[in-house]
Amino acid sequence: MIRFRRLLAGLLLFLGAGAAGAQGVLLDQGEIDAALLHGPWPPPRTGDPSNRVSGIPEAIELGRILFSSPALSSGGRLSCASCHDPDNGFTDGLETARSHVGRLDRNTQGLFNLAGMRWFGWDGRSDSLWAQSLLPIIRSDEMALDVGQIADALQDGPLRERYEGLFGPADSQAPDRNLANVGKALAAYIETITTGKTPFDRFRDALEAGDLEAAAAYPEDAQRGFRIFAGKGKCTFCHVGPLFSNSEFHDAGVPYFVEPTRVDTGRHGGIEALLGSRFTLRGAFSDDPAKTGAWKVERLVRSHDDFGTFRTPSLRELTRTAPYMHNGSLATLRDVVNHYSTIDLERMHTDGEAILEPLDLSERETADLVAFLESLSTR
Amino acid sequence: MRKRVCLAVCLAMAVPACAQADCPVPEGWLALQPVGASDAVVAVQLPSTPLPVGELFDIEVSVCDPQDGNLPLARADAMMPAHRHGMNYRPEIAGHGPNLHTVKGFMFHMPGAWQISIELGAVERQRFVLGVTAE
Repeated sequence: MIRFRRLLAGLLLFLGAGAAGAQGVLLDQGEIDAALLHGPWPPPRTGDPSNRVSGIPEAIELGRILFSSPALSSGGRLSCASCHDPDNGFTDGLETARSHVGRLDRNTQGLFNLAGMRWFGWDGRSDSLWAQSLLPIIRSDEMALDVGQIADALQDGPLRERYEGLFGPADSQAPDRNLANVGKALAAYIETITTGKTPFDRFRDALEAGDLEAAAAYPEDAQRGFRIFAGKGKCTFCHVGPLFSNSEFHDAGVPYFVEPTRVDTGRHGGIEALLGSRFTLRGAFSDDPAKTGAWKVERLVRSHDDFGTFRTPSLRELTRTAPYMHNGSLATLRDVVNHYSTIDLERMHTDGEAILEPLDLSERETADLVAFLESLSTR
Repeated sequence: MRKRVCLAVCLAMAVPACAQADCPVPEGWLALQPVGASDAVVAVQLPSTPLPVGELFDIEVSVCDPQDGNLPLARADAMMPAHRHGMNYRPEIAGHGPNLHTVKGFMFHMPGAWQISIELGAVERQRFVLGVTAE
């Protein structure tokens, strides 16, 4: 079907303009084909079979309340929203997160469009959104709630009735069951944090429809930027599809030393945590009797070059989620482009992504690529 | 002798589909290239061309060896030669039928040129490869 759409788009463009270069569309047919692969947007919505309350309005509402409730943190100091600020792109705008223990090691990721992703977190330590959602609650350096206290926390105000309505009385359940249920309610809410069409999506849709006039409304600098993105930038090897992410793990040349004597092990540590977790899609807390997603854990290939790799982030809503990279070390999109333009190959794994090399972009190319990246946001 | 001549001609022509007369490649299937000498013919049936990115897919594998009718399929894998890495998930060989196998759970996490690799043999391995594209 996708192939037919692409053929149709090419034919319509040919009939309409004779050449794609006319009327402000700069891309050639190969580049148009590449652009079409990044849509359509939004993708069809499907529920999470491992979360029985996915998509249920009462669960979404409970999740929304839990998200901003400090009741789930030790001492009532923090909520999810403390770092994932809804008014700030669901992140905190800081290089790395802060908590009661001080500065943490990683940048707070935004929460847009997470439903259906393969892995969660910078190191992919969770294979479901509900499993990822419960982790900050019990991590000692984040919300630090003693899991044994969670039933008490769920007695708080509006939480009790809503929780019981969905899952039954909290105090009659084991703490891990309470925790999984809280994660599922949070996930039901986070699944609803989605974004609409961007300038790039409208450009892409116009290309697919063969509507050159509409496509020409997309700025030429952004079009030139897409050429670099899909061409010599080789960005589309990792930033694939409608989400602009392959949801896998790569060494992008960002240092993984947190301190001179301490490293962030990235995916290596993520796999260790995943394999030791009782909250995975193959485990007892998944509500999917078919264990549909269990293959991810069961067939995982471990490799020494997992060390220091991090999950490819989606590029949607980039302008709302600065700073960038797993350690938040790059403040602006221009800094990110400059990083890849001058990437230090000495810092890469010897057996890392062999295709990465400094892009050596000109000032204009840098500005064009930034213009394209900015067009992946709704505002 | 006839087989050896046929094999030599096939290898010299470097045409994957030029299988030995005893081992015809089924229509619509693709023959893999042996890495080193082998009398066996390995062919695969792919779900699509190009192959998908970020989606699980299965392949059918046909093994024919005039010298050994029960040559086992020992391993199936894939890598990106230009990137020097393989897949992040291990495919599973299922349905060990006589010379016909289903390999489940390939997943290409990047677009571009991949190389599917099939290894035969219980002790000494014979390796066969096929270049494919993911998009």
